[in-house]
Parts: sequence; C-alpha cells; structure tokens
Amino acid sequence: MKIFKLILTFTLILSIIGCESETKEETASISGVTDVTVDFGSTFDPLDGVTATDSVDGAILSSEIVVSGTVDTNTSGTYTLTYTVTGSDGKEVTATRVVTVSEEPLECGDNREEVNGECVVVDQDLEDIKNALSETSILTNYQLVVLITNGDDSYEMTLSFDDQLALFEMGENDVVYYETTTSGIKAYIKQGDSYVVETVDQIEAFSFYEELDPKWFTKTGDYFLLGSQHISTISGMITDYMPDGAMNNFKVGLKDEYLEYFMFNVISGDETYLLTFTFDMIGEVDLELPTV
Amino acid sequence: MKKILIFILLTVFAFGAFEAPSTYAFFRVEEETKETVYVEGIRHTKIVGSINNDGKITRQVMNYLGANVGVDSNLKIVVGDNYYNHQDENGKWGMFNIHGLIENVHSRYDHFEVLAGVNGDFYDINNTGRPVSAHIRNFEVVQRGDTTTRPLVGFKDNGEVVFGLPQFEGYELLVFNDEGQLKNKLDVAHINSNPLNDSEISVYFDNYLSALPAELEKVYIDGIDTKITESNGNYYGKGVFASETTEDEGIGENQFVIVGKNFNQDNLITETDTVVVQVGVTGTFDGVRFALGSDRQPLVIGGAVNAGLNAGASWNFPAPRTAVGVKADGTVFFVVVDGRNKPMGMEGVTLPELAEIMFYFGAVDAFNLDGGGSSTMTLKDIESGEYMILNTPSDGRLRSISNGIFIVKGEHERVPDPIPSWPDTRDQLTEPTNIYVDQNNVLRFNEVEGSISYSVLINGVETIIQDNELLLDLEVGIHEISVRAKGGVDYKSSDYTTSFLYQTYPNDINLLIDMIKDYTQSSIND
Repeated sequence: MKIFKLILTFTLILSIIGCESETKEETASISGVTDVTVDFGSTFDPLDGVTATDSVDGAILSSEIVVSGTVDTNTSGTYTLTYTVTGSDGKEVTATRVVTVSEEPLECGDNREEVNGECVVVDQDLEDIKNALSETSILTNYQLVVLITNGDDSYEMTLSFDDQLALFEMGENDVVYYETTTSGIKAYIKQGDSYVVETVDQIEAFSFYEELDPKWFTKTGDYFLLGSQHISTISGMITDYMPDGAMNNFKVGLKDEYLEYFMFNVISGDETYLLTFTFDMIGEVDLELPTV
Repeated sequence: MKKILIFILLTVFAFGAFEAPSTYAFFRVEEETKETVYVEGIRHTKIVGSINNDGKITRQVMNYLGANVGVDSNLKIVVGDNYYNHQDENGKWGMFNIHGLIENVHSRYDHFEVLAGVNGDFYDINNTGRPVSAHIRNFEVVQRGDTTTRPLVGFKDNGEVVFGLPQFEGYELLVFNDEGQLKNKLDVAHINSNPLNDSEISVYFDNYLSALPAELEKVYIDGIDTKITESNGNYYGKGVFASETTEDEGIGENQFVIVGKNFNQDNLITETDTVVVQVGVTGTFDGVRFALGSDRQPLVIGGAVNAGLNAGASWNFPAPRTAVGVKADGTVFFVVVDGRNKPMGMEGVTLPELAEIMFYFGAVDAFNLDGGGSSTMTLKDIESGEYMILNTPSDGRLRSISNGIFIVKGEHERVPDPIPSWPDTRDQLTEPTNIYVDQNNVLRFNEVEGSISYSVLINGVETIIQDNELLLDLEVGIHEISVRAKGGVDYKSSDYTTSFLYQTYPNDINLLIDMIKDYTQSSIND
C-alpha cells in the first residue's frame, strides 16, 4: 500500500513539476505595435517603429518580423496588421495593430478656397476669363470677323477655321484658302473664276489671345482689359508687320464659355486703327477646298 | 585778135550777167548775244542784237523755239484754244492769255504736256475773239472762217506741216460710235432750211426760229460744242443723241436737229454715239488734225524769201511779230520778234524783215501769225513747272488771244479705223471673262478671240491695252473696273462687262491685312 502511496505521491509530484514547466514565459517579444492614424496619400511603412527582441538571443532582425495585412493610404479606412516573430525557445509571439488612413483632404486648386468643406471660387471674373481663354484657344471650328476701323473708314474680312483648313475672305476677290498638309501649308488663291495653288512658307505661329495669362486682365465694365505692362507679350507681332506701329488697349469680351471678341488699337504715326476680332459660327464652319 | 576780143567781151558779159551787182537788198542779223538752251528736245535761242536791212539798222530782240516733230519724235504740234463750248449770249467765243490756252490743251488732251508755244491766228479782238480763218481742232472744222483767201498752216500726225489755201465743200454729218470709229458720213444738204427731197437731210441749229418741217424724222442732238456765226454762215455742232421724233419739239438751247425723210430708221445715231456737223474740207487739209489761219501772204515759200510780200498786217511797219516756219529737215519753229519798245532795243520788224529772219533761221516755208501785242512765246520751266514768257509782250502784259500753236510732249491718240460699211453687219465679240487683279496689282482677264485690243474702263476713264493684262497704279479707294474686247474693222466690239469692284488700301491697312492673313494661316488647327 505504501508503494501505492509512494507511486501516487511521485505521480503527483511529477504532474506538479510538469504543470510548472508549461507556464514558463516565451523568449521573444514585439514592441512598437500600436494603433496609428496616417494621412491620406502619405507613405506608410508597417515596420516603421516596430522592433522585436529575444530574451536569450537579443535583437531580432526586422526582416524576421512577419507582417500580415496591407495598408492603402490612397483609400481612407481602417486596416489591421498582425506582426509575428519566433523566439529562441521556438515559440511564436504575435501582436496586432489597427491603422487608420485619414479622409481624403479637399484640393480646391487655383482661384478656389475651401469653405465648410467645399471648394468655392474666389474670383468669378478671373474664373470666367480663364475658362473662356482656355475654351476658345482649343477651338478648331469657328469664324472670326475682323474689322479694322480708322475714322470713317472701315475694312472687314472674315477668317474661317475648320480643322485642317482655313479661309481668308475680304470682299469677293481677295479669297485665300489655307490647308495644312504633311508637306507644309498650301494656299489656294482666288484669281477670277478659279484658284491657283501655291505652297507657302509656314508662318511662325503667333497668337493674339491664346497665350495670355488670365490674371493679366482686369474686368472693366463688360470687357476685360489686358494690363498695359503685359501688352509687350503680343505687341511684337504688330511691329513685325508695322515697324513703327504700337499696340494698346487690348480688350476681350466674353459670351457663354468662349471669347466673344478681342480688340486692340494699333497706332502708326498719327493714325490709330481699331482692330476687332469677333468670334462666330463656333462649331458650324464647314470648309471645302475649291476645285483647282 | 578780133575774135579773141569778142570772146573776152562775151565772157565778161556772160559772167557779168551772172554776177552782176545785186539789185536785191541785203539783210544781216548782227548777234550781240546769242543764247541757246535745249528743253526736252526743244531748242530755244534768244538773240539780242540788230538787223541790217539793206543798210537800215534796227535793234532787235528775237526768240526762236524749234523742235523736230517727225513721226519718231515724242513731240507733236497742237493748235490750242480756250473757246467756250457754246458762244455766250453776246456771241463771244472766249479770249484768254496763253496760260489759259495751255490749261485748256491739258484739259482736252490729258495725254499731252505742253512744253512751248506761241500765239496763233488773227482774231476778232474787239468783240467775239473768233479767229479770222478756219480753225481745225482734232480733225473737226470748228469754223470755216471769214475768208478762204488766207493760207492755213496744218499739222498732220506724222509731223508733216501742210499749208495753203483751204478748200471747203458742203456740210457733212459724221457719226462716231463710242469707240470713236466713224460709222457713217452723210452729206448735209441744208443748214436751217428744209430738205428739198426725200433723200436730203437738213440740220437746224438753235438760232433757227421757225417751225421744223412736219412729218419728217427728227433726231435732236444735245450740243457738247456748237459754234454758230450767222454773219458768214459758219456752223459747227458736236453732240449726243437727245431724242427722236417726227414732232416739232422746239430746238432747245445748244441743241441741233437732224431732219430727213425716214432719217435714222437704220439706227445710225444711238445714245452712245457722238455726232459732228461741220463743213467738209477737201484737198490739202483733208485729214489734217490741227490747222489755223495765218496772214494773207507767206513769208518764205519753197526755200526763198517771198520777194513779192506786199500785204498783210501793217506789213511795212515795224511791229512785234510772231511767225511759224518749217525747215528742210521737218523742224517746226516759231520766232517772236519783240517791238514797240525801242528803249529796250526792241524796235520790231516789218513783214519783209520777218521773212528774212525766218529765212535766216532756216525756214523753207514760213507764215506770219498775229503780232503786235498778241506776240507771245512761252516755254515750260521743267524744274518749277511754270510757263516762262520768253519775249516782252508789247502791251506790258499778256494779251487775251484766240488760239495758239503748241509743242507738246506725248503721242497723238490713234484714230480708230472706221467701220467698213453701214449698216454694220459685223459679228459682235463676246465679253471678256474672268476679270481679276492678281497679287502684283495686275488686272487680268481671259483673251477674247478676234479682238484687236481691249478697252479697260476704270472709274469711267478708258485705257486701251493690247494684251489681256494691265498693271494698275490706282489711288487708295474703291475702283469700278469693266472691260470690253475691241473688234476693230472685223468685229463689233463686245459690250463692257459688268463692273468689277477693286479696292486699294492705304499702306498701313495693307500691312494689317497681311498680318491678319498670316494669322489665318498660322491659326489653322490651332
């Protein structure tokens, strides 16, 4: 019986010893895994600030930290990341964190500011001319009626544009079509009842309104006036043709989303000419080359 | 010996006969100063000195102007006047000084530039200003004159100078189309009196106060130019169609009426024609463009001084004189000798002395023109454009005269060939097509087969061109251009095309247009 007691005691001891060894601490541990909020669109490194050590072996390399889960900083929301390391005792240690990607911020852009979480236009006039300049300068189908006035005298011509074709008309007889081809510009010049075709030197592109900064204009009454300090941006064109000429009072008017007209004075000697270019037939021009 | 003596005597006699002391007066020009300048091919010589006329010495100042006006020369002779288109209420033709005449030459013939000239025919100085003899202006006999006993001097287009007594026949009616082609020439049987049969036509001028003959066809002409001298029965009329009727509408001021049985039923006279009624000229002066009268007797005839000179304007008294002469080489020249101004060495000459002076200057033929205070000679100062008076007019001022002879620079207007027959059966040419002005300002159009030339009308002013292109040099503005093909003898000319409007711009505008054209090109597919 004593034996029986002895066996029972031994077994009890053994089982106590066994129980003691199973509750002993793991050697690995992880730190720096805390919940965090990151900016929308920012760069997020899951291992940034995360370290792991082993109580026996010392530091565990970050390459040995296994991260499961991903964070998309371009999508706001919460993401759960789990970090796992294995200690020298062979035991795994894990830690988890919640990463919150913040809401996408408002990008109001030029001439806008945020008001109550919404972008609003700061200067409507600037906005109007900016749009009009931009919309008009990309037109490929429109007409310009040009009027030169000098005192009681006036001279009118019409410029029409339809994609690869353009047409200059002044009266019945001064009529020239221009065509862009891969080999250059062809001019179809009216001569009486027929046309002659010439290949003409390409003119270095020049622009009256297309390159102007909308901020250079000031709305005055129902038109926009180009600041005189910026007139030199385009007045070189005039002096190319009229060496003694000068340009001033460059104005534009708007209609719908386009320019309605642009106009300016050209001064040559004692004479002042007013040139007015009025837009018309937007999207409605249909040019066909004349038969030669 | 006797034979020898006879031979010697005969020889002496024979030589003596040829070299006998002259019974002619001798004549010398003693030049104290002689200055010669040339202006555009015209020679001007001024001689200050004296003449020795058979021992009578007088001090003289004489001016010579001469030019070769042959067919190759760009200098021509024009007889100019400044007559009113119609005599005024006092019957005056109009007298003007030489500047007024020059102005009118320029206004009548814008293709001529007057370079020099002198006064012309004798005239009714105290009243009407009408010249004494015939006045032929651009082939038109403006008047026959009071007399046919004075020589005329005429100037043909080829530079030939003709002279002699004029010969006239009855009146004639000339009808020219709008190109100046003679359509038909008809005899006018009567002026201001009725036709005597069905084939006659009569012309009535506005001095005719009775009724026109009933029932006959009447074509009323609005006179552009009329000259009526009842006293010597001289009539001239030039005008355009006004109306046609058998009724007597009364002759309006400056109108004339052509009357005849069934006259103009063939549409001879249309609204675009020009009608001339004039006295017909035959003989020497037929086809002469300009002619005017001279004094009673020539100064130099056929290379010799007119030895029988015994009549004419105060012929044997010294006076200022003007004469016209022709040299053997065709040079036409004028001489003005000043007079009535002895203190300045201008004593003046008689007609025989003038004849000697013309001979001295090389005249083969020469004629006296009006002299005295009328004697005036002018030459253009090319630099200033002013007309200098070369002589010293004896009135102390420029006299208002009747007509004058001028040396002009330019070419005569070509006389269009007449249409071959009337009625006109020629086919009409088609109008030129495709008129345009190219980038170099050249007017162009399609050729019309059969045309001899083209008439380009720019703002109503005609230019005749041989080819179908014309370089335009137009003032700034809008110009109305139309063109017709001229058919000459073989074809009726085309009608004028409808007007083509061509605008020329000030230089600045041209530059701006170029810029805008380039902008058009540079903005394609912008």
